[in-house]
Amino acid sequence: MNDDRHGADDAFVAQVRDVLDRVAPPDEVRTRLAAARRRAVASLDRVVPRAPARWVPVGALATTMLAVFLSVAVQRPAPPAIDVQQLAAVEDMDLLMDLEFVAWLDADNVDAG
Amino acid sequence: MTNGPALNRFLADVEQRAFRMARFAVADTDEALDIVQDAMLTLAAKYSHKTEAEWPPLFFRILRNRITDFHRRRTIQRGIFALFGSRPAADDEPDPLEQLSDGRNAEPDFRAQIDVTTRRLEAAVAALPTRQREAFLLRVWEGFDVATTARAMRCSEGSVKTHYSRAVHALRDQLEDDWP
Repeated sequence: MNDDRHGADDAFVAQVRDVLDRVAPPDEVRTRLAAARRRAVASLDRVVPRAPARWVPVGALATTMLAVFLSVAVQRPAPPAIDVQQLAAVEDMDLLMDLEFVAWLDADNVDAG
Repeated sequence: MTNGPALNRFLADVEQRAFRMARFAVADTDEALDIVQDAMLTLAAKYSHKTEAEWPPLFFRILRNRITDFHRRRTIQRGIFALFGSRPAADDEPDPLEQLSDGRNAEPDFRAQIDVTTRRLEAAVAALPTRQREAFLLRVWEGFDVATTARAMRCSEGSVKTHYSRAVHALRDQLEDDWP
């Protein structure tokens, strides 16, 4: 049963292929297709051949320079840490007091709750 | 370029089928020709260095992409026309089925060559959902195997089998009066 169906499908498909092959596009279309093909083939002369080897030294040099830059940047000593409390003591005592007050108030509320 | 003669042979072999596939999809001779030409130029520019065995699925994948681009552009154009409350192109555009089944709008030379059976087949193929039509034509007409068709369609082999099977049965259902 299944084989019959596949056989019928195959015969049908072969018939479809024959019918589709039977009809060629009109002359004008064929002429335009041939012209398009010639343009495509002619364009091969303008295609720049791939030459990756030419860029390898440039890429290697760029990679090396980047690696050197990164290694120097990593080895540079970090700027001295800022003593925040000292800075605050000198710069803005009012702000520090405000912060301490808020912290105290918060702790007080927690204790109260 | 050494690939020139080989590329010329390959394109000469596929160009007419590619044109008719594109025409099935866009129902317009000039648009189909533009699409095929664009696919040819893209293949030459980007993939001429590939082996000849790789060209068929690549070429038909490019062709598919160009057809998809065409439909996207058309959808956007329709959206813009709809936005402004007019659809000047819609009334002028031929209905693919009508155009294929009725010779009035088609090229006289082309129509004169084909009989009723062929016209019905073309109309039925044109009416298939896009993926089914692609799978069917690539398998039947290009003779691609399932794996090559899947590469050209960028889908799984299982999907190709499903689309192909549905296409065959849909065509048989529509054409059973004409063919055994």
